Amino acid sequence: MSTTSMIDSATAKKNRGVWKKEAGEIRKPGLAHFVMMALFTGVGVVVGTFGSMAVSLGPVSAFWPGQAIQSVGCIWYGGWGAIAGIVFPLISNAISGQAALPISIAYIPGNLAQAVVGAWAFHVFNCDPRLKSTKDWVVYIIFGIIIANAIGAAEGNLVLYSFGIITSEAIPLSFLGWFLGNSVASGILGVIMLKFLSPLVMKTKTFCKGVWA
Amino acid sequence: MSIASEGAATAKSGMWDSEAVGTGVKSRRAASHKMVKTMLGFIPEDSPISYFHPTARLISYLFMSFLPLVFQTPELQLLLIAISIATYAWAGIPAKNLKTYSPMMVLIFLFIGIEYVFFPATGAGETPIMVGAVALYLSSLLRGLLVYTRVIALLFASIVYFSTNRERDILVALRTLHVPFAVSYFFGLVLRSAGTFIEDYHIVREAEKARGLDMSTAPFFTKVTHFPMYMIPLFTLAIRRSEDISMGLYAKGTVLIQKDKSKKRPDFIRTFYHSKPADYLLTAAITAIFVICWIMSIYYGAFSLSSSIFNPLFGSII
Repeated sequence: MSTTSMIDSATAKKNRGVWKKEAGEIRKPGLAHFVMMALFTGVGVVVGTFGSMAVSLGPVSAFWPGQAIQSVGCIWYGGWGAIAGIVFPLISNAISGQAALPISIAYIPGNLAQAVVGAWAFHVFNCDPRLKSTKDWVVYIIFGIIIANAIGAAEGNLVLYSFGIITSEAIPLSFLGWFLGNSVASGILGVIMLKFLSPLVMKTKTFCKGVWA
Repeated sequence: MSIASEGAATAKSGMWDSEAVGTGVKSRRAASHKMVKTMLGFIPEDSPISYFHPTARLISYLFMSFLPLVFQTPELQLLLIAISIATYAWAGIPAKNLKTYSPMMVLIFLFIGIEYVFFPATGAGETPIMVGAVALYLSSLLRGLLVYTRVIALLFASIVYFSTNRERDILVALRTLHVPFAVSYFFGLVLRSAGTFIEDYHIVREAEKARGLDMSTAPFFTKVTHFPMYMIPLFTLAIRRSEDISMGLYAKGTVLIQKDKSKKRPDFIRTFYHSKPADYLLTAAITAIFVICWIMSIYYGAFSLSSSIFNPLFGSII
């Protein structure tokens, strides 16, 4: 076993405590979680709106950093982050003119998937939100970015097709543009947020080890 | 009129800034030129749209957001766009403000245009018109026109609503519709925090400039990689603010879900708004229009693309 993999394995063992409650630790959802969810949604509204306005391909999401807010929010705040990840695109899409209300509502399943896939993988594979080991990086890139954006792009294109905005022939190209653009944007923002902000967030009482607390 | 009673009158008219409450006579003189901040800009304080109760405006917006989905004809979508633009102008918002959205409209036009030209949705046995190497299918172009006008009609509904309503109007509408307190409070916090987040962002940008960092001259890639770095101070501020707010709410004894339903929550803000007959009339009219159009579309096949006045212009191919 190489030194690097030994260090990784040791870090992974140590990291088990990230999601595990301490003996006698009581965690209950409260007002602080609710307020944090609202503020996080507000942050998402701004980031989503700026992202949509900065680089847009009309109705297709081309370079949308909002997915990082969804994924990272769910990793930090569990179910509260998932709710924020569903709600903020409804508002930011309306403000930026990216998508109308019925289309935004139809995007909800995709947005939910974009939020929860990364968080689910972090819990299942015992990863540290501070991205300390190679495993944490790999899991975030595969689940938090690639799979989450693939599901989001697939659902998003299905919605656009069902609203007649794209034709069936254009779906592969539209999917590819959506997936690649969003993956790059959310990858950059997500990694920065996890790496630099997780140590701070994990010290707050709003950090969720479980689904709601 | 005392300053306090003038403040109350100002609040009733929908203007809440402390400056207006404090400046007495001066604010009275300037009242006719006062603009009120909305979600997407400014609206004259005495805008005719303010005459309607926020609930009537919200219900109108919801129906205007779904009505384009009922119609399958571009002319009716154009009619909805015209209604939205007329409402925008009637509200007293300068039409030049719509320019902000023109790049988005052009992009959507190009996107849908390219989509329906190069990836056409063709009818069975349709012969294309050859323009150079490009095969144009008239049915596909007609469908593209329908989709484009529909998307624009949907977007205009949102633009008009958010350009003519403030955060407070949305909250009043939700509370009047008896949306649970937790939901309306959540939306209030969201809208407020979006505003403070932007303020914090400007502070960080000013701090950058004060230290001699000019990002406007930076290469595009540097801008792209620099943008996420703003999240670090901004998010730190957001966490601190969330703790302050939650401590404040806790200290005030706020409960999100009231167990004792017999006790009514105080709702100060709603006392400034009263529904008028015009509100009921508007709500009833738009609901009736939506229901009638929906029934005609579903059960009688009305407003179909084949019945569009644009269909003959495109060779009656559909």
